Amino acid sequence: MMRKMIKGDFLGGLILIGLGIYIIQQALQLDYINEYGPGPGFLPLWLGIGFVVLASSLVVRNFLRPVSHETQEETKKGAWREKGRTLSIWLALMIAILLLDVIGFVFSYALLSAFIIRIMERRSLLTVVAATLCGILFFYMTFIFAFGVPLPVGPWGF
Amino acid sequence: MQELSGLLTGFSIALTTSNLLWCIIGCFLGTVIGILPGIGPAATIALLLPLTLKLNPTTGMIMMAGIYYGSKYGGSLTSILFNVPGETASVVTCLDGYQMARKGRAGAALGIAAISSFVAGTFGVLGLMLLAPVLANVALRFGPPEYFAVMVFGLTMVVFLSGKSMIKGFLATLFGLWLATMGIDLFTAQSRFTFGLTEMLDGIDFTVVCIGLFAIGEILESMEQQASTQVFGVPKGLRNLLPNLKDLKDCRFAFLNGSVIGFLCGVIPGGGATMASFVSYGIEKAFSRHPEKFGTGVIEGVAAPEGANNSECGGALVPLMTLGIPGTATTALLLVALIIWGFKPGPLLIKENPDLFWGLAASMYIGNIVLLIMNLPLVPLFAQIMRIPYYLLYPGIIGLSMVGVYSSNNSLFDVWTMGLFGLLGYIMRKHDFPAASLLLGMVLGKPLEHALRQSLILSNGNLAILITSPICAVIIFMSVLVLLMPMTQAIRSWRTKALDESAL
Repeated sequence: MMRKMIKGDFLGGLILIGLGIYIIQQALQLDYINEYGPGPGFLPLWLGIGFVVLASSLVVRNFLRPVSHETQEETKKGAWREKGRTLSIWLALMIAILLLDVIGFVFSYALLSAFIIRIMERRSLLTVVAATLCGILFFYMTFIFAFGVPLPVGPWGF
Repeated sequence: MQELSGLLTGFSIALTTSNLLWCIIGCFLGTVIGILPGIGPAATIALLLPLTLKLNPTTGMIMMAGIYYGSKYGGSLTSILFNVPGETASVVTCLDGYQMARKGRAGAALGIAAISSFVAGTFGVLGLMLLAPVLANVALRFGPPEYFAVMVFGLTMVVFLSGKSMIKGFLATLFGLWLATMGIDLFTAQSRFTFGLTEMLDGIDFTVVCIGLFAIGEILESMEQQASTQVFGVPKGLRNLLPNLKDLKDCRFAFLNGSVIGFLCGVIPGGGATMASFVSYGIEKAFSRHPEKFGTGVIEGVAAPEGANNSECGGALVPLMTLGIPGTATTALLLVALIIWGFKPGPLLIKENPDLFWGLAASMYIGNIVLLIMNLPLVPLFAQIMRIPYYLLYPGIIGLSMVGVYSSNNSLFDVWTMGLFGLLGYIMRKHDFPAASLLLGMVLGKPLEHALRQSLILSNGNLAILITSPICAVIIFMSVLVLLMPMTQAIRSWRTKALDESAL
């Protein structure tokens, strides 16, 4: 029987083995036992070992488990397009967070909202403007006016 | 008798104008988020946590609990009317609920869902009221080793019930435990895993992780595909929302089944509403006189799971209020809220803060009545929420997440962390790593480490302390048994397979 592995789990397992090794390496720099009993390195060391053992078994299990051709085809079909969409939205979110300190919450949110509705969802400009303005108004009225929550502001004071 | 006087005190607290108002707001919000796929009660409570902290603790808990059990009511509405479960706990309701709607009995299905939720929800609160003080008294005898054992058992159950792969459940829990070790070690004041960042000295904020994993992660997954502009039509038969006498008679066992199973699943850490609804549906079908009709629009198929997922709320609050151990992501957030307010969740919580416990329990009775009243006449209105296009909601939820995270500490670092955990949440969903296990590992990580280290300090480093007391020995034995169970199943199936192959 042809044995293949699920790429995601295999990669995930390898990353977690790496994380486990990092945790062990860091834990070894801390006291395992001190005069009061177990030190700050006690639990992290065992957590690191647990990571390495379990993640290794995840990797090994994926070598041993047969995967049908249909499953492989299913994972390929459209998966990259979906992941690309998600990654774009996530990157837009991270850029909006980066801009919070520069242009303030109101404009960061407006840009993010416009990106999602106009570029990702391909809706009309009118929808974009209406939805974004409504969103801004909601956040401004609820958090700044009603609750007095200070939000990041831009050079223009809002 | 003590329970009765406690409950009376609770009603006097829950019926004050502000508590009643926040209870209604919580129930309303819960129903709305139960209807909307893409955001669950855990994410909503995490988002509202910074604002809730400005309220009186009892009022805040009443509102958050309202969101918790209110979401179960909302989830049934979309399952029955549109075959779209707003919550995972309502997935099984689609099977018979939607079929009933197609046959023109949507009103009866919604009516029985609300009635069953009310009956079982009330049973759950009754169970909480009677069981919690007893368990709290037992837990008073617990020392650090017993607490360690109980937490290990809780995490083991969470891993066991976490999903498709126990290894992934384990890894997610370990990741949560690792996150909990970040920051300054309280025993030695040494910093651990801070990556040289001063912002990390206090560790990572739990609500930041929760909003990232549940709100952002879920939205990223939902936005993989362009939102459809499908407008859901509200089916006919909504005018008559009251089931007839025959329906009620048919559902007698379902009410009892849903109430008991839901409560028990709630008490078990990791059980949760989804498991409760599936188990009660399975039992209902197994004991039915006409099991073949299940899935074609049988009213018991709606009553049992809907009851179970409501009764679970009361059960889930038992370990939280008595041991300080949450069993689900939502109760983990309630625990965090209690800690932030300065309470010490554990066996003394009820004794030292009777107003909080009894006020909450009484508010849950009131909340169930509010939801029953709110859900029956307002069904057509709530159904309209499904008409709001998702592409308008998602930017709003992302914005709310940013504001919610920023406002708790006025820290942009937290917002960055939320973004990173959002991506992690998405990856975890795509690869079947349970996010709830990570969250519970994180929330239990610190108390677990403290209990372990305190136990070992008491025994001069002798690990035997963790199994010498009878309570510890039994709980640790149960944990090992739970972990070994899938292994024996795997061995049995491997053996059967090997025997089959050798016979060929």
